[in-house]
Amino acid sequence: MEEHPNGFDPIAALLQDPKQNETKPSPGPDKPAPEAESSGLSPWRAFQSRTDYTQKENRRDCGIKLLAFFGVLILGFVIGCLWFLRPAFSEAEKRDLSAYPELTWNSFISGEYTKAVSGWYADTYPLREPMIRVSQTLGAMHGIQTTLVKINERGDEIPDEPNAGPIDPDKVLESETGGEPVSPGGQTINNLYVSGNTAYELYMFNKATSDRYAAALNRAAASLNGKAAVYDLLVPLSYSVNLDPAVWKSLGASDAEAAMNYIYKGLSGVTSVPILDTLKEHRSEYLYFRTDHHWNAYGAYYAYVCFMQKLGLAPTPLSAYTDVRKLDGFLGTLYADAGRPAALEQDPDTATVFRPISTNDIVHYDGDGAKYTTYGIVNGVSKSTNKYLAYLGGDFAYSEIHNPNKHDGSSVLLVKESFGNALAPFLVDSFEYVYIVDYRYYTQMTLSQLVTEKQIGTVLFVNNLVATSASARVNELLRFIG
Amino acid sequence: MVFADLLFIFLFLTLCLILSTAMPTNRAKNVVLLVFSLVFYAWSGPWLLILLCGMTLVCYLGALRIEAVRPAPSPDGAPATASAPDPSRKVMRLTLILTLVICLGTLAFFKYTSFLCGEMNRLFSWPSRIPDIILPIGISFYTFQLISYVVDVYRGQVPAQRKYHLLLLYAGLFHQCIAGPIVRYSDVCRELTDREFKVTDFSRGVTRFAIGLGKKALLANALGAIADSLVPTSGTGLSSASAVTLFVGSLAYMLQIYLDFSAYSDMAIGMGLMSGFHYLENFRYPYMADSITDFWRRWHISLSSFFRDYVYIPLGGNRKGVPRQYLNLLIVWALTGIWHGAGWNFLLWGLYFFVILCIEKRFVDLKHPPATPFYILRRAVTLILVFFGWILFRYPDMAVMGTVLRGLFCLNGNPFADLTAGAAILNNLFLFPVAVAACTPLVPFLHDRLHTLARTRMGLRPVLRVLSVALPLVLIFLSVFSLAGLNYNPFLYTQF
Repeated sequence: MEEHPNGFDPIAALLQDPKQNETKPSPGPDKPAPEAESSGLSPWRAFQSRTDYTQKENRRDCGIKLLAFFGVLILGFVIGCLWFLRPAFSEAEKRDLSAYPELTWNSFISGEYTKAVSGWYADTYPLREPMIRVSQTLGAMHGIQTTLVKINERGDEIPDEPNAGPIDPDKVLESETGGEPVSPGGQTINNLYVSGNTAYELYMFNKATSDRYAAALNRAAASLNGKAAVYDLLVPLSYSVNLDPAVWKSLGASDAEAAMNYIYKGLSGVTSVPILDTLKEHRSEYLYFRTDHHWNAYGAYYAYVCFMQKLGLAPTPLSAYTDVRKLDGFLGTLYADAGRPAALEQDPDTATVFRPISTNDIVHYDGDGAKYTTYGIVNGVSKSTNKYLAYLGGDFAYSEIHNPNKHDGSSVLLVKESFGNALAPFLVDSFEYVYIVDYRYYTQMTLSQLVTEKQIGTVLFVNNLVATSASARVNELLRFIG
Repeated sequence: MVFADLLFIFLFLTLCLILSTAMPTNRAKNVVLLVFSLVFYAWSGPWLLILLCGMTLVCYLGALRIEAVRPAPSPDGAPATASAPDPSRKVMRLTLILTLVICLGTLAFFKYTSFLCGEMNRLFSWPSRIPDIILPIGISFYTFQLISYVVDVYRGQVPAQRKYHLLLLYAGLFHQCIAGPIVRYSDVCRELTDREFKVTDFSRGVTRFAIGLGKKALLANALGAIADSLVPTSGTGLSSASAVTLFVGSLAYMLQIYLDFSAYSDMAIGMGLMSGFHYLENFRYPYMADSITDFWRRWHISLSSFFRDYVYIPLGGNRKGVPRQYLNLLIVWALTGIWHGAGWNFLLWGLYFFVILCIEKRFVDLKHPPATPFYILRRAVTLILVFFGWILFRYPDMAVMGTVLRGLFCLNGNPFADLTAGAAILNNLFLFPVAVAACTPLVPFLHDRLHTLARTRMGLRPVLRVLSVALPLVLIFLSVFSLAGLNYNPFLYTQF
């Protein structure tokens, strides 16, 4: 081993068992070895016997280490073999855990099978929950975690005016992002900013997808041919309302106002419903959640008010709702995505739920057409920390609500992704029929077929801005529009 | 399969260690190790086994032929190579060349075909279809190991291995097959058949394995995540990233690549010790180097010594005049660069070091370290040169590389610092110093100091004994928990 220029060879020091190779007598002539004095042996003999003793000691320690190491390995092995203790679902991550892969000839030869086995083994390891907790605690110790920034995308520049020529909504361009389909894989938060007890999802404007979104809505209006009035309500994320513009600009997040103006300018035959200014007026109220990317019922209410004003109708005043419940302990998507930071965990959200005055009955249908009547328009959520499920009970492909107190035949079709859930309960008291389509899952009929069959008079598209720049969402929308 | 994985640690390694330790004879142990190594290798795709076994077979037959044709040594005991009659020498040489061509040809095919086709398509629009050839894992390592074996047989330094399965064990042993170190046959040929179980070796192996696992799971993975988030190789958002962001990201990458790579070597050496093998060190705290020459004596030692012994010296080294020496160095460094990957940036990285090494050879007195302040300056300059070297290494896309280099000096119109940079520093305020300390011999130094102290302070000995047994196990526990944390993957939407 080459001598280190400074004289100290760390590798030799690391590998050497210092007690085994002692050849020099102990240092310090003023400190004789204790054994020599007490045992009557000469210092060298006493030293030798001490070295023998420490060699034995050392071998014993090595033996203990060997046994302990095997102990740890065997413990881990045995736990890993307890197949009946392997979890199938993670409450914290809200997803199904990997299933044991199917063995096929192709998957075996390509190595996919064995790779999936490794993934399954780690993903469903019996003690994974406490182990992940420890891991996240260790991660939190990396530094001071009051501010977290995760940026995986960059937004395009937002032009003042849309392109002059027509956009083909079916043509997906290479510059588009957000092409992942929804469940069972789920969707991820791509851009996140956490400051203290508040988390913000950040929106990045994608021009190509936004153009296609506007073109898709124009096609929707054209396909209805005047049978129903079409409205588009875009929902900005919480940072656009609650966060200092200097901060989100420095993070590279897109300007929601400019983006919405751009999209609205590209619409034809569709009435836009701007809500940003109204939300900003009420920003001191609990409009958005701090641990979840969705809005609270208050934010959705003011959006409803803007919509009703566009229709020229009077919105139900907030004070008219007598059954108002608060669901505490809500730790949402941003909390999970940020790795469960303590600052958010210690200050969970409260979901406010306004029960519609006229009825709480709703009929749900899932993507396969199966019918559910066990959920209300609003629900208590005792079994989950995901209190957003209170609104409509979750995401269903298609739902119908009939208001028994109205007899004017008024109807509205809400075409939505998950943000529409908090808005839907407010529509119930204003219309006789409320139809809800979650375009991510609904495949039974196209928009014009549904509008014709149910004789719907008003169609309201509700999308949060991230959906308008997600290629997969626009594709799903086009599938429904037909 | 990778080392830092729950299935590897708790299923594969457990069974392998129990079975191989329990076997009474080295022969039985070798069978166990060979079977487990083949399973390990086949885990990434059974067809890869054909490649490993095939290349080993070629080298096995080649070495046997070389030895069969070699005339008996002269009475004074010197190997007969130099004075052998021409026909045998020619056959030996031809066999060697044929074996090398097959091995290197296979390596080159898998490694460089896609890249070369892509470049030719770009320049000449031909071929029109670029084949997507998957690089079989570990091929760069075991190919070089087998080459070292055949050349050493040719040089008469080792006898040819008569048993195919032992050669296969040497080439494919899972300890070092996938990520090094490149173990020379001459270093382990005796130990292949003649190993002794020593509890002290096993214990050192446990410690070494724990250190490697800890470096990987607790440090390198986290640093890799920081680097991927701040300086993604795709280049997204880098033109507007602040200089501090780019610096912190690049620093994280510099730390990650050392900790990751040296962790694999640590784990290999540790597992080797547990099985009775003594592999040579592959890293010697490279970030403590005081010159680039010194750096390359500390970084991936097995690779640089391979190139020295099998390329530089056969080409003449420094014995054929100064111009030829520089040419030899150029060839070695170009090869070093492209060994790491198929891309112009890897070649650039190799040549970057070639230029610096030539400058050092010509203008720097490496034998006599200067006075302390200049010595510190030299070490700082070395680190800076290595830092920029890693930026060349990281980005296969030269445009992205250019953006990063310019951005570090605010030449992209980007700010010096921003919120992302501040958050990155704050969030990792403790991780970075710990990672930097892990790149220095601080822990072995403290270990040595404590032992020296314990020789005279008897009260300290029990503490030291407990620590030396407990610390590696604690490290393994924490590492295993961190590995579990990698599977944390929250989803947004759920039906119910």
